[in-house]
Amino acid sequence: MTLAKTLALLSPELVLLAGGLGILLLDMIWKDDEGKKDWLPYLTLVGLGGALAAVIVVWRGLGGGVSALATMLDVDALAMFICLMAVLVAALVVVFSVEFVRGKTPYRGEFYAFLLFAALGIALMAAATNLVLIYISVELLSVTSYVLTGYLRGDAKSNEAAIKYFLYGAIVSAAMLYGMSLFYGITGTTDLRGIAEFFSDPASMSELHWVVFAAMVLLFAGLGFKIAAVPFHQWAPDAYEGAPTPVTAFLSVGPKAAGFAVLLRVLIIGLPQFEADWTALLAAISIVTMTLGNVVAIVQKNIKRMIAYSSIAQAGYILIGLACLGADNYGLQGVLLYLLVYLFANLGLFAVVIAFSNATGSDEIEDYAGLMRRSPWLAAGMVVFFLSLVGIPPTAGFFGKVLIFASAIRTQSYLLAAIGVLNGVISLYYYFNVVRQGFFLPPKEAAPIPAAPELRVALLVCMAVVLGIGVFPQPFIQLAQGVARLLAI
Amino acid sequence: MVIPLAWYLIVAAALFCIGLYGALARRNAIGILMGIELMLNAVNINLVAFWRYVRPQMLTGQLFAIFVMTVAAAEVAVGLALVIAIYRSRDTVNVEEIDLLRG
Amino acid sequence: MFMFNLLWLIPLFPFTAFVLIVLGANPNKKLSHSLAIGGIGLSWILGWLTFFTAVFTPHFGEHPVRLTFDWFPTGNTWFETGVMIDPLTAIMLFMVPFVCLMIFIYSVGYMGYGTEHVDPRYSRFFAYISLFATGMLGLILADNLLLLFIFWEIMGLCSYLLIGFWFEKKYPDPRQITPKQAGLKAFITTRIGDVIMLLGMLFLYSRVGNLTFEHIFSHETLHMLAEAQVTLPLVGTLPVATVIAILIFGGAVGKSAQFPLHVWLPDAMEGPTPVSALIHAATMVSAGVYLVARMFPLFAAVEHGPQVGVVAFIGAFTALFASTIAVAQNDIKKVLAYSTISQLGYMIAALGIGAYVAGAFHLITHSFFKALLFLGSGSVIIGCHHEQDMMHMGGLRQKMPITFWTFVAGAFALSGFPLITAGFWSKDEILAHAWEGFMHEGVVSWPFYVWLLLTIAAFLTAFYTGRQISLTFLGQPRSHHAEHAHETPHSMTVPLMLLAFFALTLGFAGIPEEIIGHGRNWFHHFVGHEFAATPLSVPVMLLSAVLAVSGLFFGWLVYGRKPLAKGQPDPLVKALGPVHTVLKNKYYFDELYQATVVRGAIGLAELFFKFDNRWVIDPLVNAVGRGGAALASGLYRFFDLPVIDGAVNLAGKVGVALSVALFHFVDMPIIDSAVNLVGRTGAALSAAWDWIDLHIVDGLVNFSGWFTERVGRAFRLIQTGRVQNYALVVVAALILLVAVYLLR
Repeated sequence: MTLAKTLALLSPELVLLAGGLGILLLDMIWKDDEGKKDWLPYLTLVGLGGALAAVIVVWRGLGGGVSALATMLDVDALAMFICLMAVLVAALVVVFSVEFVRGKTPYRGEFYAFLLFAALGIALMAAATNLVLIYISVELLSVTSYVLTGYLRGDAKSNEAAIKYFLYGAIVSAAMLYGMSLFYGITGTTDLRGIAEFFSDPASMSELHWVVFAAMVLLFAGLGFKIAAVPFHQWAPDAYEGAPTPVTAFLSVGPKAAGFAVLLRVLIIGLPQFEADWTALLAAISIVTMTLGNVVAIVQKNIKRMIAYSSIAQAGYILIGLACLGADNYGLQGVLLYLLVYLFANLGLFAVVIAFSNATGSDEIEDYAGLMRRSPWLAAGMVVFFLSLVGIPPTAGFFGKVLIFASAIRTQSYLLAAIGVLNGVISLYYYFNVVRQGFFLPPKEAAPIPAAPELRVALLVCMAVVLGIGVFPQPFIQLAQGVARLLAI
Repeated sequence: MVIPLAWYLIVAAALFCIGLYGALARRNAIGILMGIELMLNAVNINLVAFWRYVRPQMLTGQLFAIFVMTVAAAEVAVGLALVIAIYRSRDTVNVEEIDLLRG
Repeated sequence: MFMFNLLWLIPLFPFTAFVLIVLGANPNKKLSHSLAIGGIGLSWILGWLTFFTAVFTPHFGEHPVRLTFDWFPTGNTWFETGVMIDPLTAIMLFMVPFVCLMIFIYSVGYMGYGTEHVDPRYSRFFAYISLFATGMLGLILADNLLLLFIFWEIMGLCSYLLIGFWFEKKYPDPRQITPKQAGLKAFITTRIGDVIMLLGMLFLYSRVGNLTFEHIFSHETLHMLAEAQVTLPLVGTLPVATVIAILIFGGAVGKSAQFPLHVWLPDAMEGPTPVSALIHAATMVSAGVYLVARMFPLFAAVEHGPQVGVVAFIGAFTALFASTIAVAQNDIKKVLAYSTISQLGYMIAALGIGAYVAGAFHLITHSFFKALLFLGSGSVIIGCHHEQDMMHMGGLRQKMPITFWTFVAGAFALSGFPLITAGFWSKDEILAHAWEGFMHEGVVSWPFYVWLLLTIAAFLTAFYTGRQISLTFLGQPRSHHAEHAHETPHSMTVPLMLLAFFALTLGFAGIPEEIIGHGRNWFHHFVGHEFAATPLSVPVMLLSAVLAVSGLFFGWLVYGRKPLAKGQPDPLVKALGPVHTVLKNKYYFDELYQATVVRGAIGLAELFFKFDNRWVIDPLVNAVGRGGAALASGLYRFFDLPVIDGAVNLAGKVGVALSVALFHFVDMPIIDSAVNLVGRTGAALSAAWDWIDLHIVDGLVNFSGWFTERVGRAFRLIQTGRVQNYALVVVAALILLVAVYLLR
């Protein structure tokens, strides 16, 4: 493969990197010029637009094939799908941040640069097929996330969230690394395909099986931390609550998507021989994750914390699809569609939360009383996003849930499907507690809630997509199907 | 005398456990950071030993270890910055006192 | 055909208008109505272009156009959806957007734009009617039943919202239905039909696996459905096609307000008059008829099956039944409402006896003249300062000339005034078709029944129409409001005139071939080329002409020749006596439903409500307990006093000694104790229920709530806020997972 071709395949990542560096540079050049710095978010969006264009060009150029680069990363439809999500997440979060970070921190430029680097981390994670690159890209995403979480240095909550997130993440990633070193020791390689090749020899299996399982569990700890699956979830509520809200929005979607992408690759490409083991592991973790997330969400008073638990529960639903892949990887399309749908619903929800907190400075659920009268648009958006998160038609979430539960039923995992549906009912309870506050209780203050134009646009885009997929799911399901089909071969 | 692979692995495992204990038991955030460093170094011993004994012809293990060191340095830099930030705002680096967010 | 590729845009224009009004245009009233009218205007232009393209496409009827795409996955296949145009859709496209446009324009005046009486929710009104137009246009373009049903429900929602548009309105008389209640009534009543229809759809889907019309109406599918049998409890064995047809007809009965679900439509007149015209006369209610016409191949799949009788009976009966009620109504809109029900009955009956073309023809002409009549009545209402009682009108001919003349045009079309009105030709075709069937099948047949009932109804229709014109426009004003009536603004009168034009001329599209020459019956040729034309029947045509003219004449004779004076009662009251009371009260159907269905439903709802509030078990258990106790004591008294005594006396007559012994023996120790036992058991049972309720059922309900919350709290406890505890959880979990794996 020529250098030019390699660079072309890596162009989305390169654009993100160049964009981040460019923003840092401009931030330094415009050191004291706050007026010019107001342009930074929009320049970031331009960079993300470039990355988006690169993703589309590369994706179309792939033509359904896979381009493996030096056993380090696969540029394929899955990588492009997740990369697309990373760009979308970063773009929406930039839009959320414009108003939010203004006046809260003097270091605005770096904030956007870090967002681009985090997106780069996600893009690399999605493509990585080598344990070394997986580790490095996970750390890239982690370190940028720590910094973003603690971005409001003077804010005690932000500070605390960052240090907890950091310590937790460092310990868990050390455990993951230990697991990786065990894999290397057993197989002599860090390449996922090489690992699969090693295990395809039945003689290699018997005596080492338990070590493999231990290594797998350790590896899962690191990825479970990224997707916030129980019992590796405890950082999430604290980090979500303490982080600046746009960063929370990012954390709730970006690392999750990336974590799932890595999990998919490691399990499907690297460890297909151990499917029975990891299926059982994932099924068990999925059940506790959904249930714990939903049950604890009920008693939350802070909306960011509630969303944290709800997003833990959502990871549980997605894990069902992974635990019930089926022979033809049917579960995969559910996982991918669900991730996409979840992205828009959750970020839309955060648009509401951010608009509310910009106006009132509060994240308490009880302050949402009378939201309907104060801002019908925020209230309507909130209902749409909640409906989607619960999975009620005609919203996108419905089709995500349909595909996920269909995969469970296809593999005869009726218990998983039943627990999933039951959890959907539980989740109604706390989502609609917020709706009840917003629609049926009198407002504490009558003042209408203004929303910045950027936020309004983001809210409308998310609503349009959530309802659009809900009404015309076909292209999106086919997209997910296509990606899933390519990964299966 | 050739030292068997198992010896290295036992040392690494012991080091990992000591590091983990430190990370779980120290109250000082800096102490926890040091525990984490021990854990990462245990991994490095593992990687290098595996390289030497399992597949010396490929440099993967060494390379991985170098990457781990590099990343660890970056991580510690961020970690110390965060510790300093929290020290400035709360005058403490005792992690047991950092529990504003919970429940 | 390029035109046909744009079909899907037609419903999109009003929808865009709806979205824009809701999103941002609503503070600006002018912008709102401009958007709404612009949206429907574009739909109208595109609709008519499509219609004329279809008309000038040779052999269009044999080659309907479909545009489809995959919608959502059903297992391994996709559910297709899309739009379709065939002749039936084409003629609906001629009617619906035009009538909608007229009514939208009219609404500007009716809702008081530019006056101080402008409605406070003016913009919202236009948003709703735009959404409604989306529903109706989508419905006629849908190429499958599911999509049709979705638009059907959107219309139902709009109908509900618009009937209750003035939801704050209250009346001094608590028995008079308020807009809010009327909306709810309409919603619930039509929903009964919808549920039945949904059952039919599900049944169809389970049998065919597909809901697109093209697939359902393919020869093989129809054959399969007609041949397959299904056995229903209490009913017997029927062809599947018949069962599905009857179930789907349930939806039409609800939507088109046919007997016995007709009760909602008159009350729907609580909505603003343009709504009555648009939804409850011209478009939505005719959607039921459209559904039957659309599903006609299914209805015709089994010849002479029970579905013929059901449809023909309900249609013809409703036509007569509603026209008798209309005779005794005084509210100008209520008369029209019952007239609408009656006319829809005509169409349903026509479709029932297989007169597909005639039914569709009447559907189109009726929409024009009934929209005209409603808008005319709305003009009268506005002119008379919201007076709706015809007894308080009179003499408006001079004061509102345009309204008068256009109203007369519509009214003549409704009564079927010969030759120069559209209603005459379409109604006559239905009657001729029925007559022909009667000639073939004899007196004991549905066509005869339909012909007889519809002919009587035709006379009544003409009569109440004559009555309405006379009471409203002739004579002298009978109230202060009528004296000060004034003609309405141009935005209202221009649509009236345009509609009047069509109400008079549209019939010429379907004049029988015997009159104008072979191949000239354009409507039949276009819509029903595969059906044989209905032969002209001179006696029928003469009879209906005579009935129409004489009905109108009688109406004038009774009410117009010697106009009523102020406060004078309706001469019909004296003439008909108690019959009039029954008619005026609409055969007491509301009361009947109130006493049975509504009371029952409310009871059920209260039951559920209480259950929801964890209260039901208590009263229920008490009721069971009390019932048990009452039963026990009842048994006790019944057996103890009359029966046992009687038996004992009887026994005494047989033998005194024996009787005394028997009395003491049976009554006192055994019966007494047995009865007591029953009573005690009942009481004990009720106590047990009480206990179960208190400790188990209540407990369970409380427990599940308590449990989830407690579990939530418990799990919260592990979220201590200390990061090292979290890490410890991770380590413990890792050890646990590996241990479980090793030990299994």
